Amino acid sequence: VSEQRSSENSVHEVFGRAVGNLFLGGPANVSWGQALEGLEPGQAERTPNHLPHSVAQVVAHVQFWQEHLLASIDGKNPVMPEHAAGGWPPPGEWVGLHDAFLRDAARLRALARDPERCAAPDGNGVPFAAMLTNYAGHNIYHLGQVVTIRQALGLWPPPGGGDTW
Amino acid sequence: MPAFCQNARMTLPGDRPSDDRSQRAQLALARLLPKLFRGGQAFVGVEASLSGLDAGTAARVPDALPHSVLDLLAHVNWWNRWMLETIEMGQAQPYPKHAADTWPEVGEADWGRVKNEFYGLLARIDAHAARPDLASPVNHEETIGELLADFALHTAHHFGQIVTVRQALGAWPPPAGGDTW
Repeated sequence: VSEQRSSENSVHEVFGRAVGNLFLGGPANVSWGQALEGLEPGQAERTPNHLPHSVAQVVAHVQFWQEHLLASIDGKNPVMPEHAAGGWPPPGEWVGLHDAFLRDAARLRALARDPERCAAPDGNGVPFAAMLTNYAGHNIYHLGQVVTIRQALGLWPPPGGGDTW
Repeated sequence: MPAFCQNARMTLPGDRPSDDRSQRAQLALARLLPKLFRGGQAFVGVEASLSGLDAGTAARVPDALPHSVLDLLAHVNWWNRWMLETIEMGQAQPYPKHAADTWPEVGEADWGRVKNEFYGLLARIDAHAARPDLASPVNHEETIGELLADFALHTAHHFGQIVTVRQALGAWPPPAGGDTW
């Protein structure tokens, strides 16, 4: 048991805090908390001129894949959408979406900071940490877009400030 | 189906021998990092994101937005270079005094150079992704592996914005298509 524990810790040392820190936004970007701060439902649902999505639509898309991953982890075998459009569900009510999104991001963060989980191999024998890192990448890609959509709406920086110094 | 969500089913700890896990983790991260910097799995690849864009469009700032594609790419380069200097010198580098210092002044004539620099920096990053000491601290307590992952995602963050800026300019998708299926 102690040898296994030591090996799990080594895996965690290699991926380190890198994975765990990324789900909330990562040290090199604004956090999701900042990016969504102070957005009223009407603002979150507004699509800027010349852009295809509102903040709420982008968050609903990221949440779709977060839920998908968490369902897989829970052994639920969720259905894969046939087309990319299937990963863009209607956002529904903003406050509920916002809270569910941050809750699931926090759950993924906790999984990514769990050495035992990170070390466990996925179906290809690759440590689970690698997949978590890919999902974190997807999240942060769209986090950047949320900031840009807010800029286009004149709603940036948020009340607590952006990421400038 | 996007490649990033394949094989989500994980086996339980103990299903496989654990004595080579550290080695597999090292290998997995070494394979993952260059892909993470280039996109193409969880989001549109960097080459597609920059393709079919002339210098004039790349340098154009859309109404109500603060940056052009060129500005964003020059900023990504600034930090990737800072990260490489930290790793290659083997010690923490000073942080810039102001965020504005990391947004170089660039114009239309710089587009080709900035793009070449971006790919040149990626090639330098590849060499470090394969090194055996990814778990060694280099930037205060931050390890080489962490630093590389952080800046891969910093790159992704701004590439998400590059696509949005192109959408705002009516310059998306590129001729070969975006990331839909």
